[in-house]
Amino acid sequence: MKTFKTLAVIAAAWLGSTAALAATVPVGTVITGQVSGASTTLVGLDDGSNVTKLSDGFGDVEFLTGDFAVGLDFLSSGLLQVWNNSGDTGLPGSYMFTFSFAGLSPSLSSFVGLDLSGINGGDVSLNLIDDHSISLTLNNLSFTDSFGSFTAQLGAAAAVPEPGTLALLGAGLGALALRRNRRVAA
Amino acid sequence: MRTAQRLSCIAALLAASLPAWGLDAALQTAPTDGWGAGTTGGSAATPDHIYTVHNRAELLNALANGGTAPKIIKVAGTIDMTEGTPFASTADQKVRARVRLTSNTTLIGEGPGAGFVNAWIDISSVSQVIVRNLHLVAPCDVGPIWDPTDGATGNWNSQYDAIGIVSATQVWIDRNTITDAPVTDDTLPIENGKTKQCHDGAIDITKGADLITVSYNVLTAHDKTMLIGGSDSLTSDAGKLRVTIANNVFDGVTQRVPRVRFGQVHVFNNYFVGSKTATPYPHLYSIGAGKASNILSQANVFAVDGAAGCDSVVTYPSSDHTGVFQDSGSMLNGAALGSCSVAPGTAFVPGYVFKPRPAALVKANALAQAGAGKLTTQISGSGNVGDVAGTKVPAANETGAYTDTRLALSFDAAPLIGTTGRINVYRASDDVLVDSIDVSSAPSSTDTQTVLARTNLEIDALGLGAMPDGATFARYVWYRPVSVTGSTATVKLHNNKLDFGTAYYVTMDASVLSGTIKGAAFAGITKADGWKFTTRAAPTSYTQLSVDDNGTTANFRTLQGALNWVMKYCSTNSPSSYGCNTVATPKVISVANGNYPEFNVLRKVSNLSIVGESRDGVVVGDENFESLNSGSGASAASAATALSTSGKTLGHRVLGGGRASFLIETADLLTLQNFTLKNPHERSSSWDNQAETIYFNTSTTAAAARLVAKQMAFYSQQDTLQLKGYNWFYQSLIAGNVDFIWGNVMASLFEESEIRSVPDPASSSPGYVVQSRATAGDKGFVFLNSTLTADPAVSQAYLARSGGTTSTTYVDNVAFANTRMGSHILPVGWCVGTGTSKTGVGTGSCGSNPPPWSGTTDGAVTDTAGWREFGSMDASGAPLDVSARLGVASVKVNSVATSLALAKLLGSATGLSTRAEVFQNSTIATGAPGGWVPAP
Repeated sequence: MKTFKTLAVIAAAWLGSTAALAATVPVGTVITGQVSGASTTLVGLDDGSNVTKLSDGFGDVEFLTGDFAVGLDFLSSGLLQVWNNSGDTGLPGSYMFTFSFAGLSPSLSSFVGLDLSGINGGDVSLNLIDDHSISLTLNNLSFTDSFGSFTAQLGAAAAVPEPGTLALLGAGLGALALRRNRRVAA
Repeated sequence: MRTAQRLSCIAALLAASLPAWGLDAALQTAPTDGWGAGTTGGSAATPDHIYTVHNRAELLNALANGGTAPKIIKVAGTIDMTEGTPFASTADQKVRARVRLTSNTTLIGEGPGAGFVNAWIDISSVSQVIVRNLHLVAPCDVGPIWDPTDGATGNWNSQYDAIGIVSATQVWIDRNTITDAPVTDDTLPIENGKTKQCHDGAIDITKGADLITVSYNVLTAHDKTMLIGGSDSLTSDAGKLRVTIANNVFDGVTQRVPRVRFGQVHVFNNYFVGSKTATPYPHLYSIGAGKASNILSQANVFAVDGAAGCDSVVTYPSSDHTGVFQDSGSMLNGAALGSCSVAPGTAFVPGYVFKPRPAALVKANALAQAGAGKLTTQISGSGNVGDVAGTKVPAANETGAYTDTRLALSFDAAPLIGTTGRINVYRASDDVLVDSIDVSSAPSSTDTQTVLARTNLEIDALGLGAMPDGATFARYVWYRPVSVTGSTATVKLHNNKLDFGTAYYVTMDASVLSGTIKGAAFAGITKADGWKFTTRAAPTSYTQLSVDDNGTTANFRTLQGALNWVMKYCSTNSPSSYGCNTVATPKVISVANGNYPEFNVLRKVSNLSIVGESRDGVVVGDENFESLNSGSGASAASAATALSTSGKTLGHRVLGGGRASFLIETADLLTLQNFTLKNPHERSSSWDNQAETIYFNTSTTAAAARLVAKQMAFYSQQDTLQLKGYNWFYQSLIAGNVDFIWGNVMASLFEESEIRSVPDPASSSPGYVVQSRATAGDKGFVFLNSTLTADPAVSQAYLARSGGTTSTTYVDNVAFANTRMGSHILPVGWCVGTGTSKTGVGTGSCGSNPPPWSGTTDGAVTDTAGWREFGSMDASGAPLDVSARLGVASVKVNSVATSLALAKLLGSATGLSTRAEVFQNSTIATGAPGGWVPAP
């Protein structure tokens, strides 16, 4: 029944840098989130406010939207997993998020989609606002399954990469993929 | 801009407080993915079955009312079931702690902070119950029992679960918080070497209870959390106890989360958090598979410090190992739950469609949504929380009833007053009909008007049988016999119909009232229904009487009851043998705090004091106005029959008793003290709005009767006070808008009083404080050391206007001496428009009002007659700028423009500054002038 499979993902890089490392966002980093559109409040894991600390513990989804439909799980590896917690495959309406991270070093240089295979329709827009802030917009998303998700990756500014560094980056992505597989299996 | 911002803030708040699916929380039903699916509770309640309760008494009334019709009970704030008196014993606790829910009920906290302490929510042998959004402090049994056979070394056991579901079906327990705190187990004494445990289960489900969903609750700081199935021997539980436990947070609870016997229990997406070494609630086990239990577990998340492996959280709680447990997708401390010693057996298939969320979402989802205070409900209704429907006043078989009692009957919610039918009162001894109220239009059958509702409109004869002038002499007025306040219908019988020490019974046609009592439609009241009562004995005193609208110690329920008694025995025409028929004998009626919505009449009683318990606490009076009872009014030997020939209710029969709430006739030295007289009629373009609180009627001679009002309040709008004779208002409040102090007085002194202008809902024109129709040669209306104030919504008012015509002989004697005037008093002060009086045709700008007539040759003001003022001050006490005051003005006299002094500023307050001066002319006290100098 999905008539428009016009999945569009818009990713913007910052400072024109094409080379980025997966950003490290240390556990404990204070994340301040905002949302507008279909929901106007964020429920943070720490105390229910829109400010919470990054945690890598199992199931430590840092934010839910106030309508409980969207879950946002940040990992210290710079991975963001966006969940549809609505119980349905659809996620109607627009959710416009911004997140800022306190005290990041090195600073952010990119924010791009990673595994979008769970998305069945609608638009996702990922943008880097500045060196410590990102925006994310979900517009009439639908997923291939209820409680579906997709992932995106925060990147950090890097010096001109050398071959060895690139290899390391490749290894890091492999590790990420493995981690994700394990979690899905669980 | 600011408004827009505020609106958007409100919109944001609303958006945040409403669930995603938009329906008010009180109207929601159980989710489809649980055994409790189909639980609708009270969600279909109509507004008359929506109850808001603030305390135990209201809660019990709400539970008792409405029968089994769908019912929503909203809990506002925290209800302490002890009501401040600790439970005396386990037995006492069993009675007083119990919140026994009825079928088809939703019990819901209305928002954050709603809940119970010392409550046992008992859901027994009922169906269709929802409990949501309540913060429940687990009840603490005041008498734990020591059981030496419980365990190896004995244990203390207690009764009273926070929520006990026993033999009930279709139950949804959602978004509650249940905790022992602040009475946590470490605060309990240790006896026999064991903690004297006073808590029982948080949510226990036993004895065949079935089809239950427990969702999104937070259970914390508790030991025995959820018992499902209370006994291995209760084999009848097999096939029942089907329970879904989903999306809850179990934080710091020791055991039984749940402990299951027999039931098919589906446990999914719950977040269990705790520690094996926590104190005082160490984690013992979470899920216990007891006898013949079948537990299906999916995607639960256990975060229990010190736990490792399935057996650390799932166990057989007894030696019976017939229970089974199957899990998929659950996580323990970040790892898969793994294999369990409890046998998997054959899982049951839940009887509903469901899909657990991934374990990764469970913690955040449950923490975000579970627990009390996260929902709000905005709906409201009129369900009766004031008493139990069916409550009667007087109570059936009451023996101390009052002769002036009202009849009252409570309903589940406000009943509607019918348009036909009768309320009858019979004497029990001989079945003689002593009073009959007809709510149909028959009593007003001669009316040709249609604007005034003619049903529930009866003729009363106030003072009938009590007046000295004859058996039929009374104040005849139209009144509304049936009224509804809250959920209670009240019937005012005709005045003075019941005798002392006599048994009566009441009947009522079903058509009189439409409503339900405990869910059953009102079917009328017959003799067989036994609404019988006996009135109390007559008072023993003629001169010292008491009135109270409740309690049992006063002589009367109504002021009129006491007035009738005094008129009968102490009027100036009463036999002297009663010893109270002259002005020499003081008579006192004491009125206790309360509401007395009644019309009154007092005739020919001298030296009576009516003394209230407090000025604002005693409120006497009912709505009366010109269109209802035309004219100033008088008592008479019969009700007049002529129809009105003018006005808004042209064609309405004029009975003659008049439009004041309280009519006083020929009552010398009446003192009103320390209470409020109120005529609640509000001005409206639909009616003629003259609506006195009192009409003090006496002669217009120097021998006229005297009235004293001390520490009183008089509230109406138009014509609040109609006065004659000699009146002293001292330290009192008079509120109104149009001509609200008026009459044909000799001398009327307002001393140290507040004269308050109130808004006029029927007109934007300025109001008028005084309209004087005084007798020439006396002082008229004098305001001394008083204050003219205004409601904040009132911006302008005149001091006075004239009621004069070319033929009237009364005079505009009004003087303000040393009085503060608020800024609402217009600079010109006095109202003169283009009307005509004996003085001439006015040329002022105050509408069609005429110039004043001062009783002088040309009608002009003098130092002793007409409109005068001296020493006026502003609200702060500073001298008032009176430069724009009305003074000499042009009046057309016989069509000739003539300059006349219509008002003046006096050079001194001589003649106005003492009571002796103002009342100098009164002769009634001694037969000569100067005989009356009232004192506080």
